[in-house]
Amino acid sequence: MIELEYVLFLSAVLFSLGLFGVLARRNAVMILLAIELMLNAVNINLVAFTVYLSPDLLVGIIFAIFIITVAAAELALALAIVLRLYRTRSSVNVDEVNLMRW
Amino acid sequence: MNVDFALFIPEFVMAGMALVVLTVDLFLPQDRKHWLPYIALVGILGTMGSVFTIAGKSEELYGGLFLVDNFAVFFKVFLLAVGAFMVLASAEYVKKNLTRPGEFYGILLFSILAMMTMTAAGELLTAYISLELFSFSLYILASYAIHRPKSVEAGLKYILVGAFSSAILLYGLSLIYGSLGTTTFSGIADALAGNDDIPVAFLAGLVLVVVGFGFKITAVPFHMWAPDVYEGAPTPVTAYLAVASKAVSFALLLRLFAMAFGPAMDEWRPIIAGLAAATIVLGNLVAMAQHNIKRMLAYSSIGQAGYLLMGIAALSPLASNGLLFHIVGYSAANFAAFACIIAYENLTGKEEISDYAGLSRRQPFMALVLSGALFSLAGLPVFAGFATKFYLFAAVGNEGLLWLVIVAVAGSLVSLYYYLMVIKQIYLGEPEEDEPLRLSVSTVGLLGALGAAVVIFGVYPGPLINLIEKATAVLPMPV
Amino acid sequence: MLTAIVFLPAVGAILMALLARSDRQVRFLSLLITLSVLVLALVVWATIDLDDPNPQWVQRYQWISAFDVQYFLGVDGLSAPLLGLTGLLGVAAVLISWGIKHRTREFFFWLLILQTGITGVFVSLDLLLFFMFWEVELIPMFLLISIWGSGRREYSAMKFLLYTMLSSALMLAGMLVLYFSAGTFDMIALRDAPPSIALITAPGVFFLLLAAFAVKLPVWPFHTWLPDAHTDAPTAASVMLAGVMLKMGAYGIFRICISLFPEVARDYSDLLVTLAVVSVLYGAVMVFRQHDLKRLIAYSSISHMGFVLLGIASLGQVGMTGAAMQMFAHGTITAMLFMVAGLVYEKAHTRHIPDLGGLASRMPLLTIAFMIAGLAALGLPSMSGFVAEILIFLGSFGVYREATILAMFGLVLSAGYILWTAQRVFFGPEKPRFAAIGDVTLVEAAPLAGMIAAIMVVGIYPSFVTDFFDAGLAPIVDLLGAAGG
Repeated sequence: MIELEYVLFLSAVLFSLGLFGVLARRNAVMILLAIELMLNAVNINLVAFTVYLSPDLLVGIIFAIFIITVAAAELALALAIVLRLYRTRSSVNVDEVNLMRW
Repeated sequence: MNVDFALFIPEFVMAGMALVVLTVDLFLPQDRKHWLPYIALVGILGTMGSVFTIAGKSEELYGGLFLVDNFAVFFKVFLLAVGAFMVLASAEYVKKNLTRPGEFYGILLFSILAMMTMTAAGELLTAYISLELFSFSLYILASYAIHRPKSVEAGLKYILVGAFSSAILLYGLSLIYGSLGTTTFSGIADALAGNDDIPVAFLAGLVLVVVGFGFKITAVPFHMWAPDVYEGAPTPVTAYLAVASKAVSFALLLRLFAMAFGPAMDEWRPIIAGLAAATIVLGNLVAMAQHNIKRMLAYSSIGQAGYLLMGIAALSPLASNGLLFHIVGYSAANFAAFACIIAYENLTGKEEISDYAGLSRRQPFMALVLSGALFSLAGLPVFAGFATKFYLFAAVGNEGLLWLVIVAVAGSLVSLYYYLMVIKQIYLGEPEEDEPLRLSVSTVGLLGALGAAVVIFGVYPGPLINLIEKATAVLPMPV
Repeated sequence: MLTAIVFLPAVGAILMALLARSDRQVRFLSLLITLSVLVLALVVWATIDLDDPNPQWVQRYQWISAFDVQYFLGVDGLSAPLLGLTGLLGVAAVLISWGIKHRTREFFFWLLILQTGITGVFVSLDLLLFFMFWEVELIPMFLLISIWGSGRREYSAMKFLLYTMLSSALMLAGMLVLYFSAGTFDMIALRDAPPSIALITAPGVFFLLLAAFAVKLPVWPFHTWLPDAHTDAPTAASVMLAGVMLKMGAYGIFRICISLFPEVARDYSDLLVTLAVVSVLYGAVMVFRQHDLKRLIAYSSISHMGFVLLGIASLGQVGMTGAAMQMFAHGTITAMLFMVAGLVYEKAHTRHIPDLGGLASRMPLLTIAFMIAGLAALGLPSMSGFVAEILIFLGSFGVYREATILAMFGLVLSAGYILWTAQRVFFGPEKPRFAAIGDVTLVEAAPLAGMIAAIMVVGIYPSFVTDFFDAGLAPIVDLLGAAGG
């Protein structure tokens, strides 16, 4: 079986990639994808902890399932707002979203 | 497991009423839409009544997942009151500026439901789900004026930052779960107290949780989204963001830090204290440079978040009393200020500070309430702000964080300056028009009630403090 | 009873703002309110038992129990006359503002709120309550100066506000240190059982508190807000400011600084005397450089408040009674001078002294009023100023001989400037541009007459007031004796 450390490392790398994506990307959709990456890192963490540390308690897995559901809802909501923005401005670049200062 | 569903009555009532509002909206003809706020109000007041059926009880459901105690009851009543004021304050604005009022009120009720469960959460997952339900409602409400680009922009910024901070928060939570093997608050505390040295993974998780919450409560340096969202969102939503969102986030934070992280207090106290100081300093300094009144209040509420963080940093029975007291006092004052701003915007459509010139001559009552609210935010005696700040600061000083108190007092002095700039406009400025502004009866009632609350909490806080003491008594405190 | 005295103006102000239908009603209601406050205050004053050193008419309730903050009111011999003075000046301020046309309702509203704040300071026996009332007067005064003032009114109002805010922040800091050391805000308890100061030294706290009171008094070098604020304030605000608000500073020194820290007061009395003498002389010399009638009176106030500090610093029964007496006397005299100055400005439309002159023939009554107040200010026997000053000098001469002689020189100067001013403003050749102006009306004369009565009665029969101050200060003197022995 693969050691817990490797799984956690994978999750940390995914999380960092997501973090980088959020900070570096300027396209709103890409930022949302990067956030998904971060959430999936969390899911890997939770599942791994459950499987390796307390396999008979399913708390982590339940947590992960909820996160997947919530993330789907969040994405749907965010895309709706992005779509609305695109209709008014024909762009989804967050640098151009500057009616107000960031 | 035997679950007493009677303890869920308030939540059931609220969820039911939210659905009722959405359903009624489908069948109401366009010219009857103004009934909706009253239905929502009935729902809120009904829920408030049902909260009293669980008052005084102290129970844990589902093994500590969902708590029914005085703390939760206190916040439920308080947040429902905020919700009721929110409905009253937004009725006119919604009618004038927003389409589809049914969903506005429906989502508002859902957000109140989320706040109610958030105050009762005794476990990380419950807390997270409630937090997300609440945030989702706010994302929608913030971008509700879909034909105003500023509002859509506010919504986008809010959801991007919100989702990002949730992800960070979750990663932190997963590390905490991984290092301690439990997600219930009391379980975490037990695990921490049992360990001689605290696991590094837990500390990493703790820092990430603080960062994640830092975004939600607009702690510096995670605050940069707040001014834009506050400015862009429809004004009643801004008020809701500044008051309800802050209050409930701090309720959750207080419960989390007291019930779960208490034994690790030495590790996080310097972090929280540092955040508090930075938030107070930056929030108050930048507020001075603002021209838009919503934006000014956004920065001022960042500063207020700093004061509230002090209560978490000190974390003692007195400090948590002070925290709750300040939440109530701040909410009353800030909502009073926003109620004035909403009413003024309804009448004139303006929201720059310079637009308030000569308000005292056009609408003396509103001028008085707004000035009182601003003075209360600054912490001048007679108003709630003085009593609450005094209580909070003294409690924090008691815990030996004197330097933080000095920063906070200095911040309050600075804040008086920018509030005075508004008050100066109100009383000394020359109005562009002389025509008196007429307020509707309900607005006068709302302003009067909030203004009275600001003064009553300031001069006669005894009964409120008694309630608060009962509420915080259920929280375990580190010795 | 005290609660009624304190809050009647505020409650009345709110009712008046809501109910009064015309400016005329506003005026009469304000007059009614202030008159009833005056009557109540006089009743309290008259019923004080001088043999009882404890505060009387006490009202005390727990207010914020977690920090032992109380709603604790009471009067003793020291505060009762000041209470009466506040009541008297409240009535005078309303009468002198009879002619206010601009935003009348708001004006009287804020004036009454101001009175609540000032009265509250004199009767609070809890430090935090004291601080609250201390702050309450800020906002009304700020608005009174900045809306109804003249000249650079916004600048002056802001300067007043900033000085007071900063100094009161120091006061709050001092009070909090006291609280953290003693666990109570109760002034009486603190006086009876002085705490050992843990966080910083006792002199540190003493000076934090003293700084706040010194700004209010004002003592050189913290005085610069005063001439601006006085000059630009409307007459009623000047009356309240000079008449009673400056006394809040002196009262605070008596009630808090010296009562709670008698040893420190003894150790640093040299410093207090020095500041006092500098204030006396500085104020008196600056008067000669002024061309604005109100500014001139403002500087004379600084000089006279220097006498108060001198009396306090003598730390003996006689000198301190003199200082308290001077507070009372100066309250009536300067209030009256400001009223006269206000009336002169109202009628002649200028306060620039070189432009004035020869008013005596046009307004004889006003001239007489000015002369009476002026003579009282320079300490003519049979007037209240004389009693006060003689007591101060008697008290301080034995302790600080040289300083007292220097301060007496300030009195000589004041005789000079009062007479010189009277000569420049009221006497001399009649100027043609003032040919049309008339004398004071009945409403305007009434408060002046009241003030004259107060000045003369106290001057001829001083024990009317001094007995009270004697009794009120006796416990403080005992403390000082214990500290010195």
